[in-house]
This record gives sequence, structure tokens and C-alpha cells, in this order.
Amino acid sequence: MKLFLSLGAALTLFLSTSASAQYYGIIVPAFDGPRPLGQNVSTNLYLQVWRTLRRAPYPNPQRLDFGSGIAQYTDGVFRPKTEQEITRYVVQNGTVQIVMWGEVRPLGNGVLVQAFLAAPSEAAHPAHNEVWTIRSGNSVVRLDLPRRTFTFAPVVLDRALIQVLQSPDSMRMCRRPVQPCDGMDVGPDWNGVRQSGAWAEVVSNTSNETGFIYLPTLARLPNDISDFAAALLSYERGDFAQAARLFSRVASRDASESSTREDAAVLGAIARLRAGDHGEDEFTRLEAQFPESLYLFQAATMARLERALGSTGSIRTSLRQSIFKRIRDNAELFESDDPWLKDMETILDRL
Amino acid sequence: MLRAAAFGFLLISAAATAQPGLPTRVTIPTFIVSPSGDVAEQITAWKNLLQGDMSALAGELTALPNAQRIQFSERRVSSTPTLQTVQDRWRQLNALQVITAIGSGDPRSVAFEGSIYLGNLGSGIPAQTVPLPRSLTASDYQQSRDTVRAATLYALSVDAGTNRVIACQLLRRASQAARDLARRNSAGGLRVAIDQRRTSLHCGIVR
Repeated sequence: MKLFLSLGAALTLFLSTSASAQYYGIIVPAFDGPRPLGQNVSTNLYLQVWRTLRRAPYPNPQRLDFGSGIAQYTDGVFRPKTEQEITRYVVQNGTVQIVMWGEVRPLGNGVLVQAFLAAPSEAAHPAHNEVWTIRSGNSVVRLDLPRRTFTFAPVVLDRALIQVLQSPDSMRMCRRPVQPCDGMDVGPDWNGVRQSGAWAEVVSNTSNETGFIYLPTLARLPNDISDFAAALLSYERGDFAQAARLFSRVASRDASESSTREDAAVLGAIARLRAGDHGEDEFTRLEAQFPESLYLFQAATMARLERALGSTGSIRTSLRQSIFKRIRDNAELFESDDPWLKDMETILDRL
Repeated sequence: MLRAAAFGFLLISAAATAQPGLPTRVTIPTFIVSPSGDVAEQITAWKNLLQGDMSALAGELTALPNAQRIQFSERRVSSTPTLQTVQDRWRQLNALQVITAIGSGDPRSVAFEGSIYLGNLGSGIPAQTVPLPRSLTASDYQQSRDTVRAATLYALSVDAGTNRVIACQLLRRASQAARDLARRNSAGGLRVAIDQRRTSLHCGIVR
């Protein structure tokens, strides 16, 4: 089994650290299916996610730092049959929080790709950015991800494009971002320095050489799988602005299936709010679009709670009453011991 | 519809869970009727895609205590099984539902034929078949996948009985799959059944 580590950052070459708990990352095993098609597909999806890793936004007036991001590729196929196998796989990796796996089948000039994503809670980063937490005094209410395993609609990708970037170990880098070039070996482990158009500036951790990898086809393979994975990884890293942008891209794609679009729309709205955009109206709009979503109901209620906590006097009282009513009217849709419901009631009692 | 019935069925029965001590299961057998190894291989690949998807879906369903109960099997047979064979097999398995898909064809024209039969499932749903697409194209695969998802989730919601919280969670997911089917004008009867059950259980959110 080969393991390729790739640390990505935009505009900043960051220092890697030895403490694995400080990483946020994803692993992409080769997809199941005819070889080398499975490797080709997972390589492209893996590189698409890798290109989104950044240590900080630019410009960065708030001096944000999202820490080290990591994307791993392995050519060992992962075929989980149970949720337990998925959890074990990520926990045993010890470095990443998310796994993307899938299967491929040749279909004419295209490749049918069915992919899945999981972020087991047992492998979560200690910072738990994936859980939206609101505190008030000693009270706290938390909203976890809508689910920990995500499935995507099958997509057909262009086989000719998929086969341009065959596997991470076939990657070469140029001394300057110009084609053609005599490619140098990148090695199995590299740090991303800068992403610019079709070029990625990297430092090989094998040779310590700096160079440029040419990735001309990735932008021509738009898909929900890598966009959603990159959004989720950004969300887990606390890069909420980028998460919001990527989730919105998925939510607005016509071909996305309903469950994916709904998850992406709600997580995007939450990410925007957590990034500092006061977009409570967006939840109202989404509630009209996805009237059946219980997760959206919870998120919209959390958004109102946050507004109530930031207000005073009659506005606060009015918001508190409206939240209470929402909770009371829908309490039967939750288990009686549902922690979110209980915590919400507690925090409202003390508001 | 008779022809479809001869090719295969998904049988769903809420009564299967009334037998004490039996785990509720969903079994999805595939019968491959083809003299060609290449065709059989393609149908197996199709079935494996569906199996991978349903396994991941089971992982999403926090309401299900045993995510392994959606099981697949594959049998190579010399002739298309009769309705009686399908029904007998369903009874033997004590399963909540059986999706029977028949793959057949020759190397020039591979087809994955099957249908979903909402047997004697409760909630006032008439016995009917919801046909699966016949070909192995990507868009047809997606339609099959969404139909099987919606039917399975609906069946599990019936199995959840009076547990409204779980039943509504499953129906919400079924409704999403049904919405995708609606975009392709498919499986109308299934969508109606899901909506009716959601309404009867008061799964709607009050705002």
C-alpha cells in the first residue's frame, strides 16, 4: 500500500506538525472497480479536494488560522459493508477525520461513479468544529452534522479527462509553471504552497525541491462529490467562509439529488452564520424550500436563539416566546429524551 | 404490467415483523438469466453498485438499530423465475421485503429487468408494481436506485409501526428519494403512498 500525503495551503507555506491531533484531513482510497479506472477516479477527486485546502483566507483582516490540512491517497481499495468498518478505518488512520470511498463502472466514453463520504464522530477532531455550539452562561446547546455518512447521486465523468491524472505517484512537477517541461519527481509527500489556475506550487518533502504541478483537467470535472467533501472538510477546519461557498455550489447544482442539496443548503447557511454573516433570513427562505427538513428546523431555531442572545428587552422576550412556541409545536417529532430538545428548553428557561 | 410481474417483484409485507423473534430484514436477491459470462459480469457490477449504495444508506439511518439488515444475494438461474418462485422465496426469507431483479440479455443488449411489487403492504396501498428501468445506462441506474431507496425506506417506516419519531425520520428520507423520482416522472404510486403516510402520521413541521 502506498500512502501519499499532501498538505495544502494557499498563499502560505505552512509548517507541518508532528501531533496528528492538530491535523484536519481526509483520506481517499482507490475506488472499487476495474483497475486502473478506480485509481484514476479517486485520484482526480482527491486532488480536487486537496486544491481547496488553505491555512488562512486572503485577505485575512481577522488573522484567521485554520491549522494544518491534509489529504491522503492510498491505492488500497476500501469496501466497507457496515458502519463499524467505516469508523474503524478512520479511527485507525489516526490523522484524518473524513473518508471518501466509492466504486466505478465503465460506461461508454464515461465512467459511472458512485461515491460516499463519512465523518465518524469517534474520529472527530478534539476541537469539534463540526458541531455548532451555542453557550449562554452554564447552558449549552449543540447541533451536530445532519448525518455522519453521506451518499451521492451517481455521476458520469468523462473517461478521457479522468485518465489525464492517473494516480498521485504519476505526478511530475516543473521548475517553472510552463508547459512543456522536464518533469521532476514529486515523491509521495508534498506540501502545497499556492494554487493558481491550472498550476499548484508545491514543495516535495522527499527532495525539498520546489516546483509546479500541472492540473489542467480538474476544473473540467465539476461534481458534488469533491465539492461536498471539500466543503465538509472546510467546515470541520473552521474555514466557514469557504465551507459556505462550496456548500452553496452543491446546493445550487440542478443535478444534485434532493438529500445532498438539502444538506448542502442548510450546512451552507449555518457556515455563513458561523463565518459572521448575519443571515437569519436565509433560514426563512430555506424553510420554504425544504419544509420537511427537521435538521433545517433545528438550525433555524438555533439561529433565532443566537439572535435572542444578542438582543435585549422586548425583542429578546418576543424571540424567546417564538422559539418556545416552535419547540412546543414540534416536540413530538423528537424522542422525548432528545438531547438537542432538552438543551434547547434548558437554555430558553434561563434566557 | 403482467409482463413486468413475470420478471420480478419487490414484495413488502408489514406482517413479516409480526412474527416474534424474527429480525426485520430487507433482502434484495438478483437472478441472473444469461448464457453470456460478460453479461452476467455487467449485471453483477450493477447489483454491486446498488448494494454499495444501500449499505451506505443504512449507515445514514440513525433510526435503524441494525444497519446490516438490508441484505443482497445473487443467483444464476437457467430460466426466469415464476411469480410463485419469487413469492415462495419471499416467505422462506421472513423478510420485510424482497426486491427481485432479473438480469438478462446478450452482449449487444444488456438489460437489468425487474419491478417492485408493493404486495400486501398496509396503509391502504393497492397491490401494484413499480417498474424498474430495463437498461444499464447511468440515468436508468439512478432511477432504479432511487426507486429501491424510496420503497425500502417506505417499507421500513411501516415496520416502525407506531414509533412516530422513527417512522417520520424514515419517511422524510423516502420523500427525498421520491422527489428525485418525481423529477424523472417515475414511480408515482410510491410517491403518493409516502405522502399519504407522512400525512397520516403528522410528520409535518409546524412553523
